[in-house]
Amino acid sequence: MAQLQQLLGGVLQAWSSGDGHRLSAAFILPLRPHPLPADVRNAQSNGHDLDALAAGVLEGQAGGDFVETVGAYLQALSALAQGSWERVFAQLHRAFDAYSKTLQGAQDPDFVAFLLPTLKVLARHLNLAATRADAGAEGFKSLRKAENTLKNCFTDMLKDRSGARKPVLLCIAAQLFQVYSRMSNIPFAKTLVNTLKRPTTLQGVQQVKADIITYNYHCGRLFVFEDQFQEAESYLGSAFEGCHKDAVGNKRRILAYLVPVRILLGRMPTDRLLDKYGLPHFKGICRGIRTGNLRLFEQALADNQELFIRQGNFLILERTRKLCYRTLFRNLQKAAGYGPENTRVRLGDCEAAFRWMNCDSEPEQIECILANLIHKGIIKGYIAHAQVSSCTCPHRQGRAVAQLSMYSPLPQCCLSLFLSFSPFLSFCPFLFVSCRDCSC
Amino acid sequence: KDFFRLTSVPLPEEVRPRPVLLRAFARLERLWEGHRESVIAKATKPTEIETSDAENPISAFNKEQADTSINYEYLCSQTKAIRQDLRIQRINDVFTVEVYETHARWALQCHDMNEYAGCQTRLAELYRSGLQSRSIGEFTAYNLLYLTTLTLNKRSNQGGSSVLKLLREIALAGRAQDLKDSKGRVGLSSASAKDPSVAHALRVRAAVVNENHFQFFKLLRETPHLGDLILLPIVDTFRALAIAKIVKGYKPSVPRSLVARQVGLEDQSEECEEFLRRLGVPVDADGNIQTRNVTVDISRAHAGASLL
Repeated sequence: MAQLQQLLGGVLQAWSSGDGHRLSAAFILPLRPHPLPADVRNAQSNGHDLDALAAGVLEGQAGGDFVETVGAYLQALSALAQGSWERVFAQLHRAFDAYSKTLQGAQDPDFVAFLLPTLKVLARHLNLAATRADAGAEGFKSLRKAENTLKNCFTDMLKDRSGARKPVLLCIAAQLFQVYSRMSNIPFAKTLVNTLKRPTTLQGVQQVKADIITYNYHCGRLFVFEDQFQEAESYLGSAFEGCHKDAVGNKRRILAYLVPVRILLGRMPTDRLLDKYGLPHFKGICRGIRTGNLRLFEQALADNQELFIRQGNFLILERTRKLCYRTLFRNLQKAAGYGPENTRVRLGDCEAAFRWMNCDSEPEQIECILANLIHKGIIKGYIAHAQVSSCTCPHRQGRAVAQLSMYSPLPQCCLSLFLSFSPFLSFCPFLFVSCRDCSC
Repeated sequence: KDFFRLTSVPLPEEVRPRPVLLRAFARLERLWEGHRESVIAKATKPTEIETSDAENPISAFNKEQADTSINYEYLCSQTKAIRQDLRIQRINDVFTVEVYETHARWALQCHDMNEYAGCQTRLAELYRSGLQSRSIGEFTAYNLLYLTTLTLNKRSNQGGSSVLKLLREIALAGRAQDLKDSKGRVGLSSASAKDPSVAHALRVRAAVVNENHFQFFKLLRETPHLGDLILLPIVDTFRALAIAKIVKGYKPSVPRSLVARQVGLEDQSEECEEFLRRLGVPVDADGNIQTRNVTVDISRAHAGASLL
């Protein structure tokens, strides 16, 4: 009983104090073993009606909706002690609904500001409970309910003309994002983003930094899934930079998406960075791209395939293969002794390189890859076959000649820190791969 | 034996029990076997009724009614009726899987992609709930191929995440010895994940993503089962893209034979010539394509109306 009384006392005090943050701090949802839920449970099993208790303590101080909120919250705690997340969710849902009603009824902007932080906390709890409730079950019943509730809440907050409720928009949006990503349905969040992008929506509203960062992270992820890499990079980049320096876990999560996007845009992370944040799975890929080591690249991609698929990075990383090819061809040119004057590369040499990498080295395959690179503008040049007619050569030794003027360097990644790259330079490489003679 | 009808509340008398459904389905299968060629031919022929009887809708309607022969619509509606009865009675067993699989195959062969997609989704659910079938590998491969074609269609971005989900299932299944995953749900069996069709589909997906036209057309030739029918919609687009790339990449000219080889067409064939002509690619007398100042118009890749 003691803990319970303490809790109720705390709530009452916070309510009368007029401090929104204090009130939000009163609503805790302990995930680790904690005496509070057991205490509440005991009280309930001893015959106390939790709702009545709440009513008794808060009587006269707060409105009926808030009383219901607290009552439902207590029930949730009790269910937590029993270990049934579904019931926890149901109660928290009730609490959230009741609290929304409180908020809806509030007119005075100060009062609204007082109520907002608790809404955030309740939203977060709702999200958590929904996830846990659905963890064992088929389908996404709880998450869907949570989604609905949060969506309605979002619209309500948005509709408020006085703008008093807007500060909480980002937070709710972030929660919704989480719900959607748990349901593997990230594209659904597009409408949210569109709403929030409109300049009038968030004009002149103070945003809590934490909310901004969370929102940016989720937004960035959304753009990653939609293949809009420039946008994704800007969102994820700002999220990363805004993070508190000790928030390593968060930074790691952001990097998991930021790194592939940046690789695709041409900037490589340093090994030091990857080590610092515990992202060893990107190392092989980066090294492969940097040195043109196709074998290493494929190996790294295959080894960590499952991890990448789970994170949703796999499809992006596949695209970075082109960069690997590019470096390979470039190094090939250097190694075979061609320079700025002599810019023609033999196709036969290309084949040899691929064969050495244990990769498919059929001449037509190589030509296909080259054609792709040229088409994308990653390599400038052309392929030409010498005009030797009716000559079939068994060995395809051919003299393929390539003209290489300049590859734009991928920024000198080995030397500089990941974060301090200069603005990305566009590719302007030259490679003419031409003239395959048959040596007959 | 019933016609397909969209009802709101099913009447118990009209719902057939399982043994009857089994017989009904067997009958449909016999019909298919007997009339397969004509059904497919009729389904793939463009409907002449629209063009010739445009001003005379009534006669067209009469014509349709009089046409009682076996055609795809009939089979389709009959099968849908069976599916509906199964659904109402919540019969989810091997027979249901068989019905959906067969219907999917018929839909593919008659180029009815909408129906196929519907069957595919339902099949995926059924497989996930634990039902096994001989053709689970085949249909997983189809699913993957279908999702791959979706990713090529710019309008739908859903393809990406679905592909990821499917890849994950396959990868998990490939690793696991046991059928169950951690939540006790039965996923794809390891046998199905190692199925050659699935392996093939994975390679096709990789080829499409990497825009590796050479690999793609090589794989296309070896597609098992009915997979090439699924890939049919994107073949033309892919081909046109490939030719555009080749034209850009080779100077001063490229032999047509090479182009044909790269895009899986027979050199000096009608098809090849026609395709190149449609795209606006000039071929000179020696069979070479002069690549200076040639732009390929990709939008003209498809012979008929655009599909995607």
